[in-house]
Amino acid sequence: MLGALLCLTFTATWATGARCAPSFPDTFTVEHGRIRLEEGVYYADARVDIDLSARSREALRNGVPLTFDIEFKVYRKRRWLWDETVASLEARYSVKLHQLSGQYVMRNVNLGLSQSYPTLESLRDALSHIEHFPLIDARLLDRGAPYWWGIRARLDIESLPAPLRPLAYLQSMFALRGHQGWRSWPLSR
Amino acid sequence: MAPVPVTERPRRIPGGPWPVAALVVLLLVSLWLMSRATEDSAQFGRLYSALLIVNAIGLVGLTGLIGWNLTWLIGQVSRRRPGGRLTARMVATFSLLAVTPVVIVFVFSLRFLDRGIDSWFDVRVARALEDALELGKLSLDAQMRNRFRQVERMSAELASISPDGYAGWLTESQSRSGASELTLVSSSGSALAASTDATSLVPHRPDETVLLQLKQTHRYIGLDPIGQSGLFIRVAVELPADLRGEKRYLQALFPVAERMNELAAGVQQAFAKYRELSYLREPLKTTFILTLSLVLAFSLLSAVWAAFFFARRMVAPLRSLSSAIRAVAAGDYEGRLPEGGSDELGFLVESYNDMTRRLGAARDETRQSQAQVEAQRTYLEAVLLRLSSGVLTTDREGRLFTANKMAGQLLGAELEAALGQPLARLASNHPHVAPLLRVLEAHTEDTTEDWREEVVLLGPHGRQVLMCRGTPLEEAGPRGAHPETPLAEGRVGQGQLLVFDDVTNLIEAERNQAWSEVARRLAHEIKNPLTPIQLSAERLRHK
Repeated sequence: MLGALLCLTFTATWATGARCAPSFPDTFTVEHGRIRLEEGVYYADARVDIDLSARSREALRNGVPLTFDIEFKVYRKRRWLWDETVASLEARYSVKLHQLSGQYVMRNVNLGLSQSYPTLESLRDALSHIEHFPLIDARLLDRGAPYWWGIRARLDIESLPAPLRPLAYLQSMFALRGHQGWRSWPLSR
Repeated sequence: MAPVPVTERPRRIPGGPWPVAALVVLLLVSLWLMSRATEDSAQFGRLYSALLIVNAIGLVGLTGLIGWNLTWLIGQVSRRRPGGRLTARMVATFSLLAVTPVVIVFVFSLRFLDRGIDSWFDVRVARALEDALELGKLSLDAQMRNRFRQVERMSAELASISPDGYAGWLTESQSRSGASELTLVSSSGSALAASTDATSLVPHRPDETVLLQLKQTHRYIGLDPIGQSGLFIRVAVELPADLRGEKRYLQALFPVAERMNELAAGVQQAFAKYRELSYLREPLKTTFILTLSLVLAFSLLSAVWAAFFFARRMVAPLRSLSSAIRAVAAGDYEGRLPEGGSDELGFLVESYNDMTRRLGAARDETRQSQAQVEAQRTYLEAVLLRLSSGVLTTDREGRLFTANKMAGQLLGAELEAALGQPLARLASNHPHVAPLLRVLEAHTEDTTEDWREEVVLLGPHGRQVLMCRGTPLEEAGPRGAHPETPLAEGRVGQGQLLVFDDVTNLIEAERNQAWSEVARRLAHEIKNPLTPIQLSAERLRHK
């Protein structure tokens, strides 16, 4: 009887969640990345194709803020040991709809700056282009060592309202691909 | 003798106080988290994942424990171990008692939860908020139209000014018009000239969407929430092409009045929050149901496990008792159960221990008595074996019960083979002893006192005269017992005890003695007249 109760509850949860809550199998594809050294600092340029699902768009339209993390890491490959992460950075962007103006407002959480966009597409374009992101001081890297840098983008599920999290976690588990969404390139010097 | 534990002890349950304590702590933590979460939605958001994790850990642990217990119980029942079925019944009863009310409460809680969350939302409130938002938009629209006409006039002025005067005109017009920012923008979106107030150092350039609209409709008007500064009215209009034919746009940002900004922000926040809540209504219900179900499942599984735990603890003394009773049935009186509590089961255990102690003592006494009887019987057998008299006993059914060796020798019959058989069969097998058996049967039926009789047999030894002395035997053994050996333990039958001696020789000797006395006396009598005759004859001869 207890098992039946639990099964019913979880089935109802899944069914209700699938019907009412947005699913978040948003795809974040790193199109390309480029590194450049300027005045002893490595800067990254990248383009991340963010394909928001219909349910994510619906959630945004209904006032649910979404937070996106664009993560960078610099790591050294080692032959016998696991890779050593030298630097790990994160750019967080919170996106929500300003109901009165109808504008989408994107706030750079790191810098505290906001920018509004009349359409979601224009916001997506702005979010997709990462330019001149400071990665690491070149003096922190050993000469001759094989360094790589990587980038990935993801939706921060913990920032979602609690009712949307379980389903988002479940769907993100199935949506992860490759090395948990990372795309890497050698750090050419 | 020191008490010995019963040989078959039930396997100890892995458990004890620590799993119970951990379980209770987990349950309390889960309920505390649930309580905190329901008090404050912000807390709920933060605690949600922790609540899920705690409950998931508890559920997994409990499921494992219950699975182990269930496997154990199935094994007990299928192997027909003592107490297995009783434990199963108790577990089922306890579980049913715990689960039924909780499930009923759960069903009603779901209904209340559903209606409670629905009651948060009111169509009139939603309509009022939408109206307030619409009112704000209309109010701002009026301002936006005014600002648009203002910028159109400014663009006409700007078109007549040479490029060298752009900067001065922009500065003057910005302060005159009340705009926070006035920018001349190229068709690619770059600022050609700008005038900003003190709050902004860099002009806010129009993005691609605004530029696209400008190219298509030659004008743009919209509300822009800019950072913490609040709402701004963004107006952009196309200017006549310059000498090189490139398009230019005049963009102006006007701050919304402070009071209007506050009111608009309030309406915006309230509307956004309400809309978000409305959107999250069903997921929120699902979340509360899921959380409630998890806590409920945790509670139910705890109750089921507790049912197992206490059922096993309650049945354990009975299981031990059952095993111990089996041991007693097998003749082991030395087993002792560990002391129980002060309840009825403890009393039962104590009574069992007392019973086994008494049984053991009684058995020891019986063994001693048996040994004494055995010794006496052995002694009696030795005496009977060496008696020169024959001894027979019969039971009340008239069957030969015991016979000593001398009896067989005197009677010239195999009496050992006839033990347990009726005297009539003995008489038929050995006809020469029939007179003796008839006398015996006659006295078995009639005589209640000692008797004495002489019996004459004509057997293989010739004529025998037996002097028989009989006495009735009182009830001393089981009726109709059939011993296989003479004088077997507890097999003394009721009937007659017959002791007999062969007095043939004695009678012969007495007879010979009598004849010799007769002869001696005859001789004496004959001799008496002979002496005077002899004396007379001698006298005569001398004479």
